[in-house]
Amino acid sequence: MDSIAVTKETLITEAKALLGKEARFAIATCVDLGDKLEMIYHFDDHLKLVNLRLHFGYDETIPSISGIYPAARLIEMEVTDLFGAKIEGIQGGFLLSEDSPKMPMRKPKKEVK
Amino acid sequence: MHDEVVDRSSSITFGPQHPVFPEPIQFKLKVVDERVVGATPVLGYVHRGIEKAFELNDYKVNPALSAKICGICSSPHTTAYCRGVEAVLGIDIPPRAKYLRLILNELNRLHSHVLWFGLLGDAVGFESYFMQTWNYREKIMDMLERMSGHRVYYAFNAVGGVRRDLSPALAKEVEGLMGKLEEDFSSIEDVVKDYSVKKRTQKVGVLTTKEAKVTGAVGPTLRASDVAADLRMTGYDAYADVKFSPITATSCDTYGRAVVRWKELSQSIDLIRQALSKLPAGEISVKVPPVVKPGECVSRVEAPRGELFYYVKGNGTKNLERCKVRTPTFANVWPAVAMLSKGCEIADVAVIVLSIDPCISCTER
Repeated sequence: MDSIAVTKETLITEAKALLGKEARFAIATCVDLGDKLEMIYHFDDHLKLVNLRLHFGYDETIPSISGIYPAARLIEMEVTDLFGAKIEGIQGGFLLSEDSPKMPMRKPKKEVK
Repeated sequence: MHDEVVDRSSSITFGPQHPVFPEPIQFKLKVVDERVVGATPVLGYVHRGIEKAFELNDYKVNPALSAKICGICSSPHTTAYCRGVEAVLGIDIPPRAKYLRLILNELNRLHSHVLWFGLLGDAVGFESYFMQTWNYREKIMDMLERMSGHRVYYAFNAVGGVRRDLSPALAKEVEGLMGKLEEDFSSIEDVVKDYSVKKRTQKVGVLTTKEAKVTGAVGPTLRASDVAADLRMTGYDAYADVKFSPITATSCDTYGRAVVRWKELSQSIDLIRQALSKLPAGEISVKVPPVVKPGECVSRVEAPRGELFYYVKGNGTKNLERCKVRTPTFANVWPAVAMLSKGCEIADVAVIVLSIDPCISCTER
């Protein structure tokens, strides 16, 4: 799967460029890589899929693209709930309630012997 | 006094339990008198953790799980999942299996759209029509049961192909059903052209072309805003071999969404007929390895409600590392908020939300 690597600093610029091309925000996928998180932002550019890939630490805060694509707000809330990702201006409470398990989609930590 | 000085708005909650919503979703509405000026969606009532369950099962068992994400469009879910895993595995399924997937997916679209017309009738106060359309739907569901063995969760697709073949006799019955449905659907045309239905749907829930693109609308909601985007145009499975062009509407309102779905009924019948006439002979599945090699892929198919998105990642074991599902309703929630926030009447809220054909169990997974 082809993707464009982005950083916290370039994510917004890339998202704005895609909006300029009238690309549609499809969804973002969060993956726990074991030592950090990965966010892949998927866009539909006239039926062609464009992926922006961002790696960030568990405690790092990344920018929100919901200011550019309002539809991204829901998935950013979901990722905050399920993975414990920290996103600027985004709070959880979308799919999980207060007494739900915390960050249920994180991978179990491997024991170091 | 001016509005800027005194806030005359008040808040009311719409849902999660409401006669028009088959499933629980809440909209917190900000209203001024009878006019809606803001809406906030509240979800989370039926979250089941299915994405996590995908990681715990053997990947070959997962089609049964993906079918259970949605009872109405279980065929596109299994198609999207299987196509994603097949792409990671690097296998190509037999041509006959691709055609059979097309036929089942289009039958699924037919019953889903007919179901929606019934719900529209119910929402605009046309209850006898609700019963009538669901009677047509029964015929399609009976055929789906005969093809797959099940009425709702078809379990027809498997990684590597499909589980059941279509006998020549049953293919003839499917062909015969298409003729009967064409007759039945003439009554849907009557309703689409009905004065009362037009009064309740025209210029209601307007979503301009620009708004549809920015808010990420998909499916009939997007196409009714005059955007010719349909993933079947990409030619996945057997769609490359059949004549197809997307159906759009220019009115950008609830009525346009009804017209798009009504025309897609005829389109699906045509696609099934084309597929039956070209159905190739041969195997219906190929063997697949016991583990999924490391790799990732995005699989997108056009479900009845719009783009269905699966991200699949393998890690060299029989379990998947990650499986992300984005259903069409998830994408259409924000467009619905945009439509509601424009100053619609409270009485139109149900019709507007219904116009995106919401499926909440799908959305929350």
